[in-house]
Amino acid sequence: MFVSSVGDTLAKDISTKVEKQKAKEEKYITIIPPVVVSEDDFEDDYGQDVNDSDPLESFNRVVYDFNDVLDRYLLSPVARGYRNIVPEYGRNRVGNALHNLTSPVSFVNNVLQGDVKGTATVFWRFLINSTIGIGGLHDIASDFGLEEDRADFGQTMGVYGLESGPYIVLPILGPTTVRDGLGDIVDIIYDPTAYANSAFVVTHRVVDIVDSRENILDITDDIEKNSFDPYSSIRSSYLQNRQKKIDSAYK
Amino acid sequence: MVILSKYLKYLIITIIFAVSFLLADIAAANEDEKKSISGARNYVNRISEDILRIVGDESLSEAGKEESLSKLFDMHVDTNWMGQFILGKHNRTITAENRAEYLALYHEYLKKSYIPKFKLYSGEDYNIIRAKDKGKGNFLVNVEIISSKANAEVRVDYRLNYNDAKGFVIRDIVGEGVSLIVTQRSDFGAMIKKKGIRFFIDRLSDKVKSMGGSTATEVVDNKKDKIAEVKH
Repeated sequence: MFVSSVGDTLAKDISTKVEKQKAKEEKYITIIPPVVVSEDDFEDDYGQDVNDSDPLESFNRVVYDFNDVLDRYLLSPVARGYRNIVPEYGRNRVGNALHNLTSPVSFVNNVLQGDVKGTATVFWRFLINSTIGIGGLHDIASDFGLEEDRADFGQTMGVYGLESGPYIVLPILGPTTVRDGLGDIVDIIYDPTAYANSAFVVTHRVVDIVDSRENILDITDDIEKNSFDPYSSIRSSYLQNRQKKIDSAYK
Repeated sequence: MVILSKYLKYLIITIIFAVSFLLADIAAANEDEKKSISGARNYVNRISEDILRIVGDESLSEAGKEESLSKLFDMHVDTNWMGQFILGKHNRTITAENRAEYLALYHEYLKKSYIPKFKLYSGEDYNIIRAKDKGKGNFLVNVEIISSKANAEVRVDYRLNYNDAKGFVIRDIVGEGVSLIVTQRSDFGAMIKKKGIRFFIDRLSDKVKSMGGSTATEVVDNKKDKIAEVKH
């Protein structure tokens, strides 16, 4: 009798609590019904799910996971070490020098795109920064209003109307598209640093990778912390950014 | 990773600035901020100045700055529209209850994701390059952020919407061509496609809690309290 009474009381208590919680959870629905936005309101520059085409997704995710492990245990720790050891001033000098070395590639692609202003800008930037800027360590040209605007062969092909092809994640190199991946290979042909002695090529490549990784440490930390599917966030960001570069080049 | 770095390089600066521009007091919108191209320019210019002032105010503690910015965020950012845009096709099928809960959580998620980034802010400047009327009350304002810290210039576009009741509100920020809401549409959409909307909302709730944010119910309770305060 006593046990039954306690059982009933408990059951009633639990039931009351559940009802209260349910009522609480539903409160916001009646208090602040949101204004429902119709799809017409989204009609503007945004396409519907424009970046969701990814026919190689299954393969890409496998490579992405491989790159993620490599990054987590090798590249990211090295980049954090570089950030901790080398002061910001020093890192900026390294970054400037590396950017300066990409000038020949940008120059050729600006010529191929018929971009007279871009070609002249790259030419003068390279001349000024290589001399007054002490081998590119200092970006003096920007002080003269000659801002860096890198061009590559993937972009050049895009300017001439070639579609990007499927999104693809390459081992170690990361996200690209078929068009942009081929473009990177073509760019090597007129990249003078590729023809230097092997010690320089390896050193240049290693420093470039570490510097590039250090530059995006904060954003990748942010993606890892806030994103629900980092693979999709990175894919979307990459494709949008590439499209922007092509659209800008057209103008 | 190398290719990835080419486009993400300045994105962190973009986000810091983009969020800083999101936050200012719209309540004091003045005559210079009417529905026009110049109005959109003036609006972005005013909120930029306001944010620079708040962030640079040494009399405010970090917590005080975050609190002030948080209140401004609530007034300024049209998370109702943004959240539904992000849902895309799922916005057609989601139930009213789930939509309401999702939008309350999304507001908290966005706020908690970006407000703390102000701590990283220091010594940047900006130029408003141009503004465009995109029709239907939408405006695009192009801003160039000059970061001495990162030794770089970053292009940020602000997508604004004007309505007679609120004036201008911010609906998207686009850094170096990367739209916040288009990226989130891919991000959220991937999980919704795999696991369904209810699962996603629960994970969003978990994430908001882990950020120290309020649950959907608490958001409503806070709003109720504020309404009660105003009535009294």
